[in-house]
Amino acid sequence: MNEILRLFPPSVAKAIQHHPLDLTEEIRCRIGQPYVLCTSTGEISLSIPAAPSDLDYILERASNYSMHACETQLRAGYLHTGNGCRIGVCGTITETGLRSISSLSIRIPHAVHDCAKPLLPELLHDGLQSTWIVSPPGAGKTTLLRDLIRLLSDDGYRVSVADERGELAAVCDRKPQFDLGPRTDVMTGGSKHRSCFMLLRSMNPQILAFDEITAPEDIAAMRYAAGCGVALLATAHAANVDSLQTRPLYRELLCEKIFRKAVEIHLENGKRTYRVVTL
Amino acid sequence: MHAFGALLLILALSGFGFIRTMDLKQRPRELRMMLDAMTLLRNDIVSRTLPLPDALAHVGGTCRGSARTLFISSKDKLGSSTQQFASVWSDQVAQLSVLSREDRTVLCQLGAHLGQFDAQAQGRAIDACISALKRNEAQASEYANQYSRLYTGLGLTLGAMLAVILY
Repeated sequence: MNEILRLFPPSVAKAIQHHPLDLTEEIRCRIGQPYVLCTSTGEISLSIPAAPSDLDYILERASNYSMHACETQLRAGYLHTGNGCRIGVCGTITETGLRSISSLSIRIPHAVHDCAKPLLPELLHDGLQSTWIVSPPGAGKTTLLRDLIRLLSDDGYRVSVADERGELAAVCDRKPQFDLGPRTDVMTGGSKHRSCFMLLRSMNPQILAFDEITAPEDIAAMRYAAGCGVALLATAHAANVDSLQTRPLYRELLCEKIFRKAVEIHLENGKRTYRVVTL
Repeated sequence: MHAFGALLLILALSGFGFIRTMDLKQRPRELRMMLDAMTLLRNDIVSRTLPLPDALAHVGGTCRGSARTLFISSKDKLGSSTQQFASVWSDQVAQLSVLSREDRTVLCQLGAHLGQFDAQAQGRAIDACISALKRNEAQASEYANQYSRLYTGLGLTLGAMLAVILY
């Protein structure tokens, strides 16, 4: 948590410290508006508004004083820090990226140990099959996926992770900041489909894990991986499994029966429930 | 004894002239080292897109003199400071007494750009810094060449004159 507070100007960090950061999932910074801490039960507004210099300060530290080294990420509208935070960036789009940054959304990752443990018996019931983790944004897909990877790795499976945005493993100084288990290999950055092919060819995985399938090329990589007998774990933004059908990208995968199971996450009044669905 | 005293006087004043000459030549020498450092920095940022702390460590480890001091101390201060990089860099530049105020102004202007923009924009800022420092180095070298002989000669002449007058 100290690493997260270091991102902020000292006066703002002091104000944030009065609130429990371990329950905070997101910090919103909008110029001229109070800082907002988002938790699973609601929002807490700080009394201080965000100044333009505050956003410059945060970006400078989040990029490790190196905006030039983060150009690819900024063009995609985000930045990821060494401790696994994903910072959504909003401003004016230019050819080279973004300028005149007006708001930031700092997503704070949390490792919830054993949150996936109750699901394991059902998921492994007839051998591990490719599984989707489905929920609307902010419900905990990445947290669940992270724990599932760790548990499967502990269980003896060789897991390879295509960590495009660095949120799953948060590799820093060549070491994952989150525990993903002893048999897990992580490829950080690059596109999912490129990472997928590299991992399949070189790391001999039994399980391939990714966060958020978004591009048509990702589908081709998954088809190839499934054809090699590798089980897939992936997340998808959707209210439930039925609404996956409305999105062409996911409809293709559902029709081809590449994914056999799904875990729906439901968040109500700050409480999460999981439902395993056979596809 | 008189001759020995006269010799000592000549040597002392010549030595003073020599020291002043060395001082004059130090600034262009430091500027040349700073220019080498800036060329390395440009390569690290534009071609290799190294994160700034890594670039500072790499360049600082390669160069000497005040350039080494500037880069290494800026990198070290970043880890513990709550200031923005431009302030950290300016504070370190201010301590480079061997450089002139104009040199330090050029370096401070660069600090406002480092790490802030895309690689090409930073490359242009470093190029502007290199151009300005080159001009300063050329002026400083010319000044040193012009006046170093003067100071050396002056020291020797004054020493000889005083020796003649006193003895």
